[in-house]
Amino acid sequence: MTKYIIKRILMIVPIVLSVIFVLFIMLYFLAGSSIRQMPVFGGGDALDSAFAFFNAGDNFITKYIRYCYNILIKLDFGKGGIGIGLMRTLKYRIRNTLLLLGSGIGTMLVAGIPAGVYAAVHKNRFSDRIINVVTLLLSAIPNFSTAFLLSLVFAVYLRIIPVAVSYTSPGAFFLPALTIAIGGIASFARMVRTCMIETLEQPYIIALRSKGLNETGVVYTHALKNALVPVVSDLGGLVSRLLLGTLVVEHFFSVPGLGSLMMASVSSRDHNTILGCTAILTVILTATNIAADILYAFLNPRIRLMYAGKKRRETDGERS
Amino acid sequence: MNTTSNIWFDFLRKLCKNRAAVAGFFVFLSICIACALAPYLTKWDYFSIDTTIVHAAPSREHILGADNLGRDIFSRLLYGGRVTLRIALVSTSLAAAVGCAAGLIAGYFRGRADFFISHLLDMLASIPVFMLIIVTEASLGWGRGYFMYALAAAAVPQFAMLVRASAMNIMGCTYIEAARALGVRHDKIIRRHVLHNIAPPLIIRFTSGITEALVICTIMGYLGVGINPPTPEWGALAYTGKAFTRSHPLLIILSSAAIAVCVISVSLFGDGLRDALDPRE
Amino acid sequence: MREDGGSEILLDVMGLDVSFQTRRGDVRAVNGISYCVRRGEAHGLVGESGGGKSVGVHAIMGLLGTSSRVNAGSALFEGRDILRLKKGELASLRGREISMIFQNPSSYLDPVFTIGSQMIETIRAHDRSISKGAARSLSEDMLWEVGIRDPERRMRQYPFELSGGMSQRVMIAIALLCKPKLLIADEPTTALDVTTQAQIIRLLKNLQSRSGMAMLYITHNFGIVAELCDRVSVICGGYIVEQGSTDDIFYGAAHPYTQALLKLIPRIDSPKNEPAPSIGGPPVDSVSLPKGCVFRKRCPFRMDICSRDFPPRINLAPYHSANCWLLELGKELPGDGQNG
Repeated sequence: MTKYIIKRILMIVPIVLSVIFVLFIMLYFLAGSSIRQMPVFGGGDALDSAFAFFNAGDNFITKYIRYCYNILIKLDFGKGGIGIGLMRTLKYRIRNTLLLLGSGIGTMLVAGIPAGVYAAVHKNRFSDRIINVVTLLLSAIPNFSTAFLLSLVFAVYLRIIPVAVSYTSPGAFFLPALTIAIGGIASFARMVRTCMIETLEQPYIIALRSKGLNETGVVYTHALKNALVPVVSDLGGLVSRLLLGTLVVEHFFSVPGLGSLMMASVSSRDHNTILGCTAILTVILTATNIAADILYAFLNPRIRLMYAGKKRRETDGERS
Repeated sequence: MNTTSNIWFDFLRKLCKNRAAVAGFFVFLSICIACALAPYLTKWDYFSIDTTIVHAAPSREHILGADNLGRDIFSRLLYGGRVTLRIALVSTSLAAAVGCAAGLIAGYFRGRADFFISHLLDMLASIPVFMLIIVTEASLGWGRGYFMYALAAAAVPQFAMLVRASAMNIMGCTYIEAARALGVRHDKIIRRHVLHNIAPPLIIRFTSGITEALVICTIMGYLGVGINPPTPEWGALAYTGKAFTRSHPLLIILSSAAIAVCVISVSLFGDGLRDALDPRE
Repeated sequence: MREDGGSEILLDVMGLDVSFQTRRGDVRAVNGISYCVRRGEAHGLVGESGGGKSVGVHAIMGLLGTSSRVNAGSALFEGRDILRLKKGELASLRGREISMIFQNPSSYLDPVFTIGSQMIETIRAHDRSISKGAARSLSEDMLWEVGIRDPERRMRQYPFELSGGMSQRVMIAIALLCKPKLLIADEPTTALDVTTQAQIIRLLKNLQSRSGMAMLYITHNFGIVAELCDRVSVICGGYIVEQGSTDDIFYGAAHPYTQALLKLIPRIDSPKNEPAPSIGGPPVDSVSLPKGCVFRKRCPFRMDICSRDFPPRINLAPYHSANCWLLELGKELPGDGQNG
């Protein structure tokens, strides 16, 4: 298992490199791209001597290698549009984005699973229909509409939370995080419900009941673990949608995060910042995907045994 | 073939019994038709500014009122729907066509083509949709043409993976082997057997592809990516409305509702399709 | 039937009636069947697939889905009607007093838990006072009992790592963990190959004679019945058409349906080129149950009266009865005793 986890974590590197490569091409060949002005030499590091050894010139490939080397090894994202080191701006924004995304994913898991299980267990009853309609509605409303409704309710009618806040205290993140969470919970609960209904129809559920297990044990220990296997394999797409939601929410509530920085740098044509933001967003997304993969292996013994390297073969040790 | 037509007839009968799915289909269809017939349904255009009716309340003349620049909201919604729905439908169809071709080549012929296509798709799939769109827009310039292609490109892997998996699945069946052994030509096998079997999951995937494209398209419109200001688009309309949430919330409410109704109706229809195409029961 | 002496009655099913709701209408799967299982006895429920055998026992165990309904009847287990037990009481009865094994062993084991944890869980579900360690050694003993040579290793394995025969042994072991008084076996060997089938049947026979538990064995195969069961109930279209001891049925089958089923047993001395026998005609469609006898459409001896009313039960011997108009009218069955 440890070997599998390490293997998966190491997979982040090639994925991030290839995504950056595609984006690098797209942004590099622009007229007036700031990436093309990026220096290749003069870092005074191992890469300089390597380039010198191979007699490498100043071209697209060496620029790409230099960029990847800088961001991965030195955590140096170059300079932003206004000339200050990008890493300093990014640090603060990464924190905010991660806070939003993390709380969104957390609430989604904590609230989505019980809601989905409850609906599946009460399939076609009144409570299931209510959950079904509400989650369908909430998952269909775009994030900015949810944000609008929430700000209307909390800030204008209830006056609990001020509309304009500075994002230094964690309390300020309540509305943005709630907005992200609501969409996530709705989609996730629907996914859990579908898979749970499918699982509850499996023959082994009948067998578990026939063994005398109580219904709670059957549903929450056995059915849930089985139902989560396909749910977790789809988690990557859901997290990607949550990240998109984070982008919208950051824009709506003017949270200084990666998304708002990226949008701002798109309009100011600050290509280096765009590249930096996309690189970090890719790392975040790939990391969550890999976390989901590991969780998947943890839930699904087939995958776990396949990668464990242990070859356990069926030998017929039956006696008659 | 007689049996085939029976299957499709049975499927239609099942689908028609599902009231939610039928309702979803007709709601979406009527929205599409209404948007397509926008010039006939409203006498106002979507760009003329009339400063005398800024933020006008709904009236006989302007049935949903006017926005911050005095443009008729109803016609902006209809014309906005044209933009949004066209982007969603065209990009999804494009993605389905390209994905289908790529998936068939990969799944049917296997070998080096499969290797190449699969790795390309894997790479494309690992780039989040919105990042692809934003970077495309940033690099190729702001205009909805490129935005639509980026949206399509991002959706290609899902279609291609699905078709590839189904094609490989079907290729493993003995009746394909038998057809091959009898000397049936590739194009005929693909047309008669492979496409027939791929159709159900592909149709379901297509409906969920439309909802995804709708959501992403409106979010991009809201963020101001890919849509130039005078052009109405539901997301962009919501963005305009956001500035006046407290005094004149009608615009953001209506545009959000339009998006939600479309997404819900298509997903209800898609759910109905999935249930009707489910071989069990 | 049920007033006979001998051993005490363990399970007494009376007038069980179960129906399903489907899009085509109500399916009347079980129509008032009655049978009883005595302590230590093996009772066979025989009939074609789709005949309502399985549904009947699932109803007794309270394992039916939401679309089905028990309309009438009772199932007395040691005097308690288990169809009317509360959820908790039923749960404590299942697995401890009555256990069940199923047709397709690999799909009836939870795929994401090890064999060991599923066994330990079963023990501890019924008796919290047993420690995990004690439950583990109990489980290993039980695996050894059902003929698994390396219990420690098997306990750590997942269901997908086991062969079909091995899974069935594991399922039997799980079912017997709490020493139940009655084991319900729902076609446990149908999905297995012939050799494994024979092994499993021998195993069940041994276990039953050793532990003295009763067994309710559902099958469509009279060969298994002959080997395993003391008494038999023949089910067709949700009705019991013939009941009796295994000998009564084999040597004096009175109902045409039973005779037809008996002919299906492959015989080693049958001519080689003869096609495999089958009961002609379609099985009973339980949605539009015909009035009268359920078997009449396929019966070679059908008469006018068969389509009017369901035939009454005719007692042929002390514990042998059949429902057929031929017997009521006193006609001699042409095929009677041909299997003797």
